[in-house]
Amino acid sequence: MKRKLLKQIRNEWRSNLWLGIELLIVSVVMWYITDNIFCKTAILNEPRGFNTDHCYHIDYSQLSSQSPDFIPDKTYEEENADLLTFIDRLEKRPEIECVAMGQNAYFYNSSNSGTYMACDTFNTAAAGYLVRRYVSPEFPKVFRIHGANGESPEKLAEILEERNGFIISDNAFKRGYGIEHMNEFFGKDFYNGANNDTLVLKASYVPTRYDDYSALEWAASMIMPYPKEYYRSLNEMFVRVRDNMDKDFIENLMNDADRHFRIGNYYIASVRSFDDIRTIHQRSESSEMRNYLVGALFLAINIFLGLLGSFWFRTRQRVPEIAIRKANGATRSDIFRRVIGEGLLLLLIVTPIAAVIDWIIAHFELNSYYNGAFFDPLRFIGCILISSAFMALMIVLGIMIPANRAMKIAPAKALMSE
Amino acid sequence: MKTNYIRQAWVSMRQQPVVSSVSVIGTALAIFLIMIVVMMQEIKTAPYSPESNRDRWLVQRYGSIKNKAWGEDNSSNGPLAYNTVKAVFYEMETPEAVTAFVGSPSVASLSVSGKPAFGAEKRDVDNGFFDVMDFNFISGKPFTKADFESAIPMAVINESTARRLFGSTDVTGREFNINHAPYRVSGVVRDVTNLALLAYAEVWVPFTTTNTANSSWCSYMGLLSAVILAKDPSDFPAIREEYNRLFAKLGDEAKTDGWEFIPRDRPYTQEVTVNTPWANSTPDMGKVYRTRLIVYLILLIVPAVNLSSMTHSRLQRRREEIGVRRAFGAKRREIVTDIFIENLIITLIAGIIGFALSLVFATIWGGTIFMPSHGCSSLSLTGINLGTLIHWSTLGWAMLFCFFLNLLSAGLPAWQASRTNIVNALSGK
Repeated sequence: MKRKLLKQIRNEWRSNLWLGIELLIVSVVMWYITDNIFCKTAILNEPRGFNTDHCYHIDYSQLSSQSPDFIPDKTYEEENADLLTFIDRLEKRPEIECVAMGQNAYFYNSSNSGTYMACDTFNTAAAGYLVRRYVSPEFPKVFRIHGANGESPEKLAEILEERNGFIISDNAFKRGYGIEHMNEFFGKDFYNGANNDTLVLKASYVPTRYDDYSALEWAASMIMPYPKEYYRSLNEMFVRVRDNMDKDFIENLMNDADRHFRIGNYYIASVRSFDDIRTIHQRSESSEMRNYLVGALFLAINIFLGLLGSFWFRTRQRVPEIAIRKANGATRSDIFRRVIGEGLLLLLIVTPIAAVIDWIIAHFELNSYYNGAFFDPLRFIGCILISSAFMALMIVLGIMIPANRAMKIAPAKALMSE
Repeated sequence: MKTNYIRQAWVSMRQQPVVSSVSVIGTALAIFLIMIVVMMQEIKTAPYSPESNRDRWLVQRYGSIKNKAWGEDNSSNGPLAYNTVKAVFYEMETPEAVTAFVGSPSVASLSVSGKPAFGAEKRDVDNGFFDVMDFNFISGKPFTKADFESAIPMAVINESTARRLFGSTDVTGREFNINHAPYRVSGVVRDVTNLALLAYAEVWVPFTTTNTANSSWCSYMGLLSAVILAKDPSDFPAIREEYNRLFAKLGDEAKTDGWEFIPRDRPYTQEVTVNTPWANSTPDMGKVYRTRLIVYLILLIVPAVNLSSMTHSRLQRRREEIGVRRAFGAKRREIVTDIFIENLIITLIAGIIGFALSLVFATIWGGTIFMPSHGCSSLSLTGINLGTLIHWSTLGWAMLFCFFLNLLSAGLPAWQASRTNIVNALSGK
């Protein structure tokens, strides 16, 4: 049967050429889209290393001199004391679990700061950018960051209370030197490129990704604590709310803001949940993924319509041939399968050519990058299989209606017109 | 002659309803999607209130600076300081207007005595902002240069905020608090869509009345972005020359402390700025255009190939008719033109359906599909109204795509059909 199908395809080569070209172009584009979505989905599913559920960003500020309530000539120490009172009052609220401060520290932030940390001959710069977060020691507790050797967030917070120390993500030397864990560097002095000073590495933490669309491979970071006396120099504040106490949290806090949180010149300007911060930060990536999916759907509908149109015409044209087959004993399902088989065979012929074009695209690094490579045999074959399967589905759906019609041809009636 | 084409098209469609409707659906779908893609692009660059002058803009959202002490690959990239703005943008004489403002609005606490406070997005701007942007004032006017320079606490608010604060929009001169500091309403404007990335806010105040003017580190970097409004786009080279001269002068001064500016080809036209969202990247418009071309090609070619095979099938049925016409002396060229125009009519009708669908879709779901370019800090997107979407240029693009689609899908089959051997056609082979 297959040989005869091949012969039939060859006989109608002109119209099959059009179909073939369309299937080829769509195969290649479908593979590209599948590859892109595959990589994005893989990255989305990598462990984040932090948790922003039930966390809120407190946008605090200082009154300007225009305000009648402005208290002039405050010293650094006085302002710092005000800030500590501010934090203390927040911590006393029953729904708040813990409060931390930072500078370019929070997650899903569009801005960031970097540094490099060097110890002996090892330097994090060998692998690229090291994100640095300046924080108050409670930071790991707010975002549930865990130590690489099993330390709890509370233990990491204790470690950050120590002066002149810092903690680093466990993969900081992985890309540059292949060193999987930082244990051998604990207790050693590191030179901090940003501050020109020396810090002692106290512990390492499970790597934290920059955001949901940034791969773990590139997620190297370090966290450096500020002691209490210098909180005035930080500029971000975050809280973790106890589970089940999120309801109306922002509204309640803002209602109390004027009474309880006007300390010195400090006041609360607004509060935003990290769910919202995440949505806003990742808006363009998530919409890009949605656009790719819509593109794939569009191509699929085109295949569907194209095959529907072509095969509708073909089954009309082949009525005599089908009638004769039926007269010779072919069953209805034989006819059905033969028609659909023709479409699938076309796809089968086209797929190896598409695979070669796909390979060329991957070779020139025009597709998506993931886990160190543009071309990874397993991912390549997997994506080709997925996109081909999807196209086969569209082909079957598109031909089904004409095939159904072909199936129902009454041989006597059809041959009568001949 | 013309009505003949339309009648012919209608008859040929009725003769093969399934294949014809599949063709029409396919064409409408293709035009629909292409128009949505075009609209998504246009939203970012087409002029609409209050960013009505986008085609005459040169934008500098960020600056880049490095220091000798930092090493080669390190730089700091972000908005500019007031000093930088005063030294470069405020000194310029070629443009029609310049403005400096805070790039991202922040949420401020607004209140009137006796009522609870609420949050609104506030943008710190200068008086030039209202010369460069095109707000629709329904009451009052913007604050003046004198207000700005003397740091008088005046504020322009949008109508929703006016209603929320005072219950009406005729509130020029009334007092209210922004972040616990008193301000007076200078004017009220129509609400602004947050797709207008640089203009959007709910309250606009002079940045000299807030901490913004003094927020800077290293005295060159701070919180401000700038827009230069040219009298005409042909002035751009002259403006760039003046800009480079002023920036070089500032750069010489900065060098004495080891600072060096990294130009990154700034300032940018609107189109370049929306495609270069990050402060530390240099624009690569070549890549942007290539990607766009490939997307449009795919969106056109796949349906075209589809339609081509269907047109080919449809034409097969008319071989006898074509044979007869040629037997009576019709030239091949005439046949090709006839088929082409007939198909064009069907394509245009389908194109209009697709275009109408895209407008409906854009109006209903505009909030979700139209993204401002990166940097919008509002949670919900306000979308845009229909009036801004229907542009002569948009319609023009739609017709152009229809034409190309038709050319690709009907051209070859028409040519092939015209070359049918007359005898074979008449005998039905």
